[in-house]
Amino acid sequence: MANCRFDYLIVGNSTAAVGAIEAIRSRDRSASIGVVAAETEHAYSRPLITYYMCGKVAESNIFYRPPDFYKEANVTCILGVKAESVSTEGQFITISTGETIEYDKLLLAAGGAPIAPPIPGIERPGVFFMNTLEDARRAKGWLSHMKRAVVVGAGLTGLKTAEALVEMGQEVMVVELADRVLATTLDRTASEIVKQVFVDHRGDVLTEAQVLSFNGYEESNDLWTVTISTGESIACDTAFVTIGIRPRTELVRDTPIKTGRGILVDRHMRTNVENVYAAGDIAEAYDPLIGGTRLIPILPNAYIGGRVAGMNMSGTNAEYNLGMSVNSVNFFGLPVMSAGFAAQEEGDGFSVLTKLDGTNYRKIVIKDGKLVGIILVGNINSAGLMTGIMRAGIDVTDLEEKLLDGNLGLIDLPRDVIEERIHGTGRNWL
Amino acid sequence: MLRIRAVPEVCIGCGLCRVWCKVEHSESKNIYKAFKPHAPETVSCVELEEAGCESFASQCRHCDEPLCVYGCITGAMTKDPDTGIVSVDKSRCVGCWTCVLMCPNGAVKPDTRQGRAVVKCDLCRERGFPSCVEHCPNDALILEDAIDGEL
Repeated sequence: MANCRFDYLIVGNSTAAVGAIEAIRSRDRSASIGVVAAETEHAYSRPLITYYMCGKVAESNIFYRPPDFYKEANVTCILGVKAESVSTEGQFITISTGETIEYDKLLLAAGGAPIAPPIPGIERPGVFFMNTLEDARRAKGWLSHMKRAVVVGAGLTGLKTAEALVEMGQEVMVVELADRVLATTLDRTASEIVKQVFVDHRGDVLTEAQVLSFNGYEESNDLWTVTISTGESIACDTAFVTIGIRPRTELVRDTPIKTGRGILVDRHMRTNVENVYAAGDIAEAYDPLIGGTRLIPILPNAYIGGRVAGMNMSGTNAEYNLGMSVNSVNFFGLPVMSAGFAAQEEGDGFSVLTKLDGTNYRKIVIKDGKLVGIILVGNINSAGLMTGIMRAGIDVTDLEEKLLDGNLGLIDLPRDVIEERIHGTGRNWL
Repeated sequence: MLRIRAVPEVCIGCGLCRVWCKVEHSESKNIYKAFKPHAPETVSCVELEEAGCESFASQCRHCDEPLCVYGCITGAMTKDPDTGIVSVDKSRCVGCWTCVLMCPNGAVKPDTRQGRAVVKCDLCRERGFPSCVEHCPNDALILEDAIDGEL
């Protein structure tokens, strides 16, 4: 297999890779496409691994595309090997077997690795990450004879892990360093509602706390307790470390490819080096709301970024203008959505309007007359229209009331926008 | 690629599009049974937009670049490469509602019956011709073909 060459070589086999493959194949049926990935599975839905762990989604339903996807798309998969380095001058990559693979165009879509803080005992049996299907499989097996779990980190992955554990009948405690859950995507009020939902389902959430060590039994080394920054020791038999991911930028170490927090790409998903593109969690790409690049490791952006990369790689000009942050999730049936500058507080030119009614919470953030951030909990009416308004940069000065109440209609938008939305082809989003 | 085109100039806001959409997507597919008090609730895929004396019906445009499909975390939302129809495989939907948040037209709606999954216009695939278009009394909804024009 190795020492070969592809017209399009993709490192990574997840959402961004699929987006690129589908874009390339819609334009070019004959060019060769190769995919190199460390994981051995066909592309699966990463956000579903917690659903798989608790049994809500069968393993057969976790795959992101049908089993014949690669065959239909005529893609050569080289799985179970790691891409170790890139030679931009020779236009080849070196894989973990020592062999090399040449490319005409290269897409770096290797994603992110879970952040492993240097907490003593993190390597103990019983301590898991929740990043791959294999992580979920191993945890699922382990949990079958366990009952108390600690989740370190209350981001999206951490809370979906905690929800899955609660549904498996585990006693769960979430430990979060920040002063609230989902600190990057929610404000204090929304966080409090989400936290309360966990408490109502007998999940414990401890904020402004840190795990200092994972302590084990002397004989087996298995996890026994965790020591937290309050000084307490919490008995547990399982722990999940879900404090975030970091882009696998080590792949381009010693190359001229520029990195910030991720691999830096322009609005065509190109790196600074010719014929090399990046997309997905590994990339630091354009966010139209801030007018610059930043890491937004979410699935929609991975697919769209991969698609834009694939289009440009195969000769169709496309711009990545959809890279704002969007999150939609539900916890125990409560829908929670946010987009853009969701956690933003009043001030610095931002005006913030909120409406709270029990577990229904709506927040809009406005700057220069434009909608730049939203949080919707419970009442999610008009959600899609709101992100559509954000993406189109529509002036919302006269729409504030409707945005807050969630009774906005397409008919409330400017004439030219209505015309485009009801008569257009929906082609102009890319 | 087929799409339903609204013609606001001749829409009288009667709401029959909603009625027939509900019938088509009800369990019984029968107008008498679908609206009985104890019939399972049905969500209309069509929205009647009204402001003052102006109105039009809006539903999924089956976008060429469908953001709902791109945002779908499971792969349940797909665009058929042959027909262009964007539809959801409910057996693979986990109800995260990312598609609901992604659709700039608000044309993907939470399925309140099941608490999970979503409903959206499927151009009445099973039926063959969109029921809302067929029953619009004033030709305010038209089935158009992106290539061949009006049907």
